[in-house]
Amino acid sequence: MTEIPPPPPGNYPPPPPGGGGYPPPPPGGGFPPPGGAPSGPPDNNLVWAIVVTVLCCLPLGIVAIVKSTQVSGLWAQGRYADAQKAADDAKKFAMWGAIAGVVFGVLYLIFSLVVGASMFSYSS
Amino acid sequence: MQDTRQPLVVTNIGAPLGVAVAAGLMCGAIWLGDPTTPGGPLPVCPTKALLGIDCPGCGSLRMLYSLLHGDVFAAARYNFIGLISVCFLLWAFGAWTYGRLVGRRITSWQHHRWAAAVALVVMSVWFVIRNVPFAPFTALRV
Repeated sequence: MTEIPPPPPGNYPPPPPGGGGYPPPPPGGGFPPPGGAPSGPPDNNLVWAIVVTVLCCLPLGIVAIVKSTQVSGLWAQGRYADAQKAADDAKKFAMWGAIAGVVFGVLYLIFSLVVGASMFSYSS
Repeated sequence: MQDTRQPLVVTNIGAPLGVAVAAGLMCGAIWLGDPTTPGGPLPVCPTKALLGIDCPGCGSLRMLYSLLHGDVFAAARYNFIGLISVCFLLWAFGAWTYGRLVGRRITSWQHHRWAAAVALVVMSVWFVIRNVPFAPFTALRV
């Protein structure tokens, strides 16, 4: 009980009484803000990546999810610019997936209308 | 002061409202288009059409159509992971809208450290098992 805990590394705040050498993570978040970091981790755009994967039926959505997975890890390593880039890439891939899905849907609609019209003119 | 607050609230809630309207229009199109009957105006999944394999999203339109008609079991049959995703997306939408209303960022599941990794694993496993060509897994094909 008289043992003195080792000093916390770096510029972490002093340990809370009874705790370890690190401050507890904030509730629910899991992103301890490192000293001198920008305001917070970038939004990983995971929701849009999942929307594109489930609704636009394109593997671009999976690429977007892969990019989303990299955001929190890079941020935890202190590579803030890379984390931001991964988040931006996730958004970019999700956007392209959504655009590709919409373009495909519109082309399909035009195609089915044209085919339907020609079938109709043949039958009449 | 009251006059300056009003447009602020409108811009705050504008984005969630836009998403809600877009989702509503999509649900209307799915309701009218009836993707469960082949040959309708709604497109087949491009991945399915081009490559002939089931992607993680295949069957989502039919899943949403069944869900809109209250048939949860049929919805799960068409795309189980898609159905689970819809629940999580509604959760995220609710948290986002509430955050916009009260003016601060509400932490939701997608901000959790492992959320993206879990989503990736689930989607990858789903992608694989839907395409395994033997007995118990062929039931997952749509």
